[in-house]
Amino acid sequence: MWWAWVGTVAYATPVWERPMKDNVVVGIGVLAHLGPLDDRKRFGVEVDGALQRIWHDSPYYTPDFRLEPTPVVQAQWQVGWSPGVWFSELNGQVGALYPMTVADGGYVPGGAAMGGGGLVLSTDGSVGPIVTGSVLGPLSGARVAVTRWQGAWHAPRLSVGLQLPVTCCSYYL
Amino acid sequence: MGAHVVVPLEATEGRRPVGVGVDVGYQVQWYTQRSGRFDGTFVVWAEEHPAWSYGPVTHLWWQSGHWHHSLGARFGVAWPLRVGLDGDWWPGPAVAAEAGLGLSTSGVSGLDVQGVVEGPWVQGRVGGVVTPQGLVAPRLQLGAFTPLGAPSNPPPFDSDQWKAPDGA
Repeated sequence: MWWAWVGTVAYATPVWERPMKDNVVVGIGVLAHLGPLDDRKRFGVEVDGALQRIWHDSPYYTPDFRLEPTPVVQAQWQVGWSPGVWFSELNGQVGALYPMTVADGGYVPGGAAMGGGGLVLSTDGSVGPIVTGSVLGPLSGARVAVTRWQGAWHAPRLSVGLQLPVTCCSYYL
Repeated sequence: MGAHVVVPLEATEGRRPVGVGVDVGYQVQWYTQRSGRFDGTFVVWAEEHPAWSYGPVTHLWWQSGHWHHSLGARFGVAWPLRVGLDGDWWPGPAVAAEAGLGLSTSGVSGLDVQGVVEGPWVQGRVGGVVTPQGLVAPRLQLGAFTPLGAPSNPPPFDSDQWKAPDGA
């Protein structure tokens, strides 16, 4: 219901009054290259690991606990392979997240949108900054990234897969 | 985390003979904690002697005109120094082996293997990337590193940590 969203945002606890909660996320997914394929196959696989931080009250210590939208920051490492090319990248992203569940040990993202950038190194010879964007769903995620190399955009790619929280207890899951 | 210079153990063919790199890792260090009662006082202390040390580690370095990266694990034996009772320590002498995925902008991908010798704040490594074509990008790395965590000071003498547990 749209008014539920409006009410949640309007009456949410200010972010600066909420405690921080961290999450360790590991993921595995399918990688699709969106650009020219002269040196690689279209599809491959990727694995990733991330540290996430949100600002949210704990259900254990807040009598009127409710799920609240929250800023999220994330540092992520991703290694991908499609026949012909390997790459390894480190990126940082910021955005907004709505948790599916929150407990003392962490949380499970219910939905999120993030953007950011980082650095990548690839066996195709490219090395340099990247621009990334991500959306997260429950236990899942999709991410696009493109490398800036030799003055041009290079190797745009999409990855879709599972995103599994490691640190969250499952009190409300 | 640390930084190092890279000396390629291969022909550099006119390229710069020395490169540079950085290291980031997380080490789990085992040590032995002992306790006893001396003259009626319960005492807890940590023994500083070689013990298992392991954890994830990653390196990024420039060698022979290309960027290289490895991400893997380290396993070895290390002598922890100044072990704190809450688990923090300073690295002492250590020997270890590392293995992980190695990638390079030269197109190389394979198993990056390294042998490591460390002293307090200094490190030396010998390694290369094992590929189906053999060992490539062999190198010697010499550098320094520092722990980002540090032992805490002993707690005050009236701390509960110095009191004997029930039955001790």
